[in-house]
Amino acid sequence: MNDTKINALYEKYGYLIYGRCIRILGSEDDARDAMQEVFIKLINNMDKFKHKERIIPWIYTVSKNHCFNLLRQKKRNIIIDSFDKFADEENSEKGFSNRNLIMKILSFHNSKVQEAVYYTYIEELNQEEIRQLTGQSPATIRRNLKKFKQSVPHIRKKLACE
Amino acid sequence: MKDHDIDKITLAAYLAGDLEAEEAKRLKEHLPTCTECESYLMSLKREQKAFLEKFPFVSSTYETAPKKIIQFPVYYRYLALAALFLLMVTGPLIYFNTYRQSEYHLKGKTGTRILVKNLAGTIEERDVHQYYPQEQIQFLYSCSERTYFMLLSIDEKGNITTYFPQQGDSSSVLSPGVDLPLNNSIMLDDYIGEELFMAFFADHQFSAMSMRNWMTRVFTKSKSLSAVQRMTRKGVEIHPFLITKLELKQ
Repeated sequence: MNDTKINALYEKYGYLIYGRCIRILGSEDDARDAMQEVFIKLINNMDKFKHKERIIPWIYTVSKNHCFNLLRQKKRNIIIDSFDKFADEENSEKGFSNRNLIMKILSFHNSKVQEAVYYTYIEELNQEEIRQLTGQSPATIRRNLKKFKQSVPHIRKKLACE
Repeated sequence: MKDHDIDKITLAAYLAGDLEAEEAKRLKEHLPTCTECESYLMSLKREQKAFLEKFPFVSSTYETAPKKIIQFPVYYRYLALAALFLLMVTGPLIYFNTYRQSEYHLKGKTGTRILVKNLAGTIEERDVHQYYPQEQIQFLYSCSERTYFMLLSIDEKGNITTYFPQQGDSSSVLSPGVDLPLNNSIMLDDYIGEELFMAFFADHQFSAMSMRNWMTRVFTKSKSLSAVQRMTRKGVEIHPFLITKLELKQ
């Protein structure tokens, strides 16, 4: 694909990818990096879209999955100063904002719960829009929202101990 | 969106020009009658404009143009003779250079090793790259001249982590030396499975984002870490380390 076509795709869809990423990751730098990675996936998959209407739902889904995976692994492989001294192993993110904490907790859930919570509270889609995007019925969405709310105290405690 | 069947995703598709002609026409006729949809469309346009001003398209970030295949004329006999002559002249030079490099455990102009601090606190070097969660690995590098460097990793799901540079997009700079430790060691987390660490050395500045994108492209197409491990790039020496993290048996 040549630069002109890639530029055209970037202008059409770049802001949508970035918008999903910043909503989940919260940090501009992280969102920009994630946007680049999802955009590369979009370029590599463009020839697989039979209908152009499927592109934006794909962007929503892949961006969401990619960013929650990043959140899940964000504290992986901690970089510490050297062999001679241990870094403070207390959770350096103790000052979680509520939003960051919610996203972190959500990253522990399966994709169905993530979809229900993310599309309801972050994207503010209605249940019909969520159903079209994910296939989840209104009853399933409500059940997954409830499951998430019930999990918050337990996962919050787990994160505080790590 | 309430009270009608036009949703946010449809409006975004309309702005992108992705709707079928009939649906686009229907939406275009609907917009002047609906302040909610009109308002959302305007907000999308503002978001798009702000994004492109903040992050303008940089073509070098997305190197997908296919490489040209150059066909050589079939003067293979003369080429073979010329190659043999060059080998006879340069062979001894290459041998001595390699011998000198081998004194410093160098493959090419650069080298990399991994030391690990195990859970007992002892530092060791393992022949097989199998490690356990909470162990700390320390990369040692060797280079015969000042070099630009990057350390990235990719796991079985395609998640990429940038270890060096620790900030910004440009490669770190390393001074020449033998078995020098990188500034920071890495404590391995609880993820069990394979992770491929890639150490990149070059004689010119290069971008972490372009390396990440390149690794993502290869992994997306092949779905395999071994394909990423085999990556080569002109002007860049790559040292891959495929590590396996094992579950600690109690």
